[in-house]
Amino acid sequence: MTALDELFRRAARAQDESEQSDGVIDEAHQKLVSSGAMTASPRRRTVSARTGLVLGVAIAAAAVFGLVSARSRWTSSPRVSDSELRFSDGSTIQQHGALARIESVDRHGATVRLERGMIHAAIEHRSDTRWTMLAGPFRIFVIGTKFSLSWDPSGRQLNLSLTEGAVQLQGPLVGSQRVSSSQSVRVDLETQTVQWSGADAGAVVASSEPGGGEPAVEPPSSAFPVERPRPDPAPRPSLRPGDSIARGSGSRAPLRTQPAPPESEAVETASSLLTRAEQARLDGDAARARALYLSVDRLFPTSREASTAIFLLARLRADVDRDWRGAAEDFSRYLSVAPDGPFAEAAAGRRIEALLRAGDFVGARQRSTEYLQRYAVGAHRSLAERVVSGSTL
Amino acid sequence: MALPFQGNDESLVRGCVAGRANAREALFVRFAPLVRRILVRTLGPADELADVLQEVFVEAFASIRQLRDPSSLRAWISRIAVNRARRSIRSARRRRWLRFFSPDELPERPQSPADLEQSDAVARLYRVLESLPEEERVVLCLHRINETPLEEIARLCDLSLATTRRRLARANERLARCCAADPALRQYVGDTNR
Repeated sequence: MTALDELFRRAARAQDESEQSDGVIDEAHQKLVSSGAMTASPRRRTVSARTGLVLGVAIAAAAVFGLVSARSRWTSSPRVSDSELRFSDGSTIQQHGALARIESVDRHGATVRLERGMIHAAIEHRSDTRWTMLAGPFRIFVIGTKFSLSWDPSGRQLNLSLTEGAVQLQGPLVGSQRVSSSQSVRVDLETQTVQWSGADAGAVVASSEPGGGEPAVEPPSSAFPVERPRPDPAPRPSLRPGDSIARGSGSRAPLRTQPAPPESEAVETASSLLTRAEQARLDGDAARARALYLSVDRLFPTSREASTAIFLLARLRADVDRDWRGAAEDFSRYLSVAPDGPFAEAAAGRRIEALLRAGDFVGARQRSTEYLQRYAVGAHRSLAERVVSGSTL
Repeated sequence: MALPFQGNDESLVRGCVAGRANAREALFVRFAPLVRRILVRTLGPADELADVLQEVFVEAFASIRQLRDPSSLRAWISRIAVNRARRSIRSARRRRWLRFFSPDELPERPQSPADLEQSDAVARLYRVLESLPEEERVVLCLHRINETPLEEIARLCDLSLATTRRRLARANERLARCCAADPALRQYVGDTNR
């Protein structure tokens, strides 16, 4: 079996292990049941983005608002422009090329999941109204308001624009924030930015830079008597480096972003920093990954994450920067702080390679000897043997 | 609540054709894991897996009366799953179909360093797979991740065995080239620079 075969097997194992936890089968079953496919001549209920939200049966459910629950009912529209869901309390949801579904309807309101595209909602205010909009990892709690909501799952971008009233937005990057009339917020999970605009943006304005002219962040507490959402699986601070808040002045201010220096990331934990560094590396942003690795090492020097960051930094220097000397030094640094660490063998082996490429044949031979003494069956054994025997030099 | 279905594939097919709820339920229970496996092997852990899985069974329920040989039920539904997966790939090429590290799904604590390393390699492997042509990707994933024999892949994809072999060979060559160009995957196909 080749190393690549083993990698494929690892992928298969990961896929199989996720079967019990990813809920795919249960979700598909629920959709089949709620669409009637299990009991009647099947009709296709899952629809494309073009045919989106509509709402045949859901409208019927809404007509008896308070009596009927229409869980995960997918409906399709023959004409996108005609797609409107009208509830018996007067609330309406219009879609524009969106794919959405009603997750639940009860006498207090409904939960609507927006899978992709844009919807315009006009929710009638009542004292006991509790509506929830779900979009990706975000939740929007609504009492009575008019707003537009869009979610792009591929770009992982949420846009929320309030026309009237206010909502409570919860999710990654924003924490829990009140969004008021004439405010707009765009949350981009790809670029890790939050952009505010509109008349009351100042209500949640803050600066993440110490000594800046802006007041400190103080997310407003929820003014909504709604059920508490599940805790975000990856809770994050309400403001993140790279966030930018544009003060409005009665009309929508231009959106802007502004990268933050790595120093401001001290508010995070070592693990969250390392995770974001890995995200940046996998996204191909080597410079940001490098800065974050260095932040981990500098801010949490005694943590396990710091040694991991050193190793990953060394690998970045080798694989991306082709800085062989720097890579060899960082691999050595890792081995000095974590001689028995999980990357010790890989660091020792890759240090040989880095030294060779840097032209340090003496150093490579010395490290190869050490490697063979310690890792008799290591992955870099053949390289080390060749170096020691001189066949590579 | 429908009664549990008891019977062999033939009676299961008859029950589904008749629209019996317990037969359809039994068909789902019996084959959903198989279909999920085919889909996740070929699509990766995509967002729309549940939707595609549902669509496979909707299509199966709608066309099961065309199934002439109930003993081939497993192969028949597998073929539907493969065809659905191929359509999904074609219609969703723009989307990332693997997000091991999507921000909202990241654990608060990172995985162990060893897991991190492995997940990274697997994630990169998927990105390479995603870049392959759809017809090559399906054959390659079924063969190398699902370890499906070539003869069965040929049947699932409605290809001749010779064509399947050619596609697999092309896919393997392309995969090796892509892996060799990736610093983190190079070690898995042999570092040509050594």
